[in-house]
Amino acid sequence: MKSSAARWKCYRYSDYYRVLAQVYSPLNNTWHKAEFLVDTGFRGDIFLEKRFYEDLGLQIVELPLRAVPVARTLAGSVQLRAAITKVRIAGFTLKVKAYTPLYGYGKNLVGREVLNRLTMLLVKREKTCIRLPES
Amino acid sequence: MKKGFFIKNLDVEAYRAIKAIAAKRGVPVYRVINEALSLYANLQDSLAVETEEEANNRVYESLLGDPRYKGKWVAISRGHLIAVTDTWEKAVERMREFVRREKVAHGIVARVGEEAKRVEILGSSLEML
Repeated sequence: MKSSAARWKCYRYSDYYRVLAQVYSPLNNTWHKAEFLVDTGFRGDIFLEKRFYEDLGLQIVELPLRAVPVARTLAGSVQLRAAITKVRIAGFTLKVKAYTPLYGYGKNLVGREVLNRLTMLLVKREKTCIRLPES
Repeated sequence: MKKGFFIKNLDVEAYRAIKAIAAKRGVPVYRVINEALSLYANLQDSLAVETEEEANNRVYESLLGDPRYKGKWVAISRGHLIAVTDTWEKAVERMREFVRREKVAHGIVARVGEEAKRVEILGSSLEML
């Protein structure tokens, strides 16, 4: 008899709830590992460090300026750059918009638009778990 | 004697042209060169070269009113439309082929007419910036 128990992929908590993911480089047709902070305050797909964004070659497949929003933050408005790519996270492959700041360094964040597509469990100050897809 | 400059590697043909203009006007060569330098300095802003990113965005903007491109995926690089496809994957593939042949600093792969989505970064914004 086939078991119906849910399977989870968990990541250790370290100051923040974190997950490991792979981001696709459309330019090189390769996948690159990175650690992301789970940020429920980020309304968007993923946010990347500017250097990582450029290493992936996303500036070669970028969205035009008129299709890139200005982000509203607690510190004011921030001009962004953005490109479409894919992210692999706990067995899911999702097409996402990757953002990075036009100025400044940025940070690797996974935002609500991705979190809403996953089933996620935050175990207080211990771990972040994502329910794996049913095979 | 007034202070002067010695400039190496001036273009001989351009210098001759300036000298001819000075002779025709009956003024010293230095006066025409001074006028030319002032004119260039004043025009510098308007002579600024368009960047690759600006050229790509200009091409994208020019596609917006054209019904042939509405909803299509386009790849733009070096100020040229290089592909029109039905999917993101195909547009990326065409861009990848282009980048193998040409040196590219910036490119656009986008669906024509797609608008910007609202983005808020409230949790990490202070640390991130």
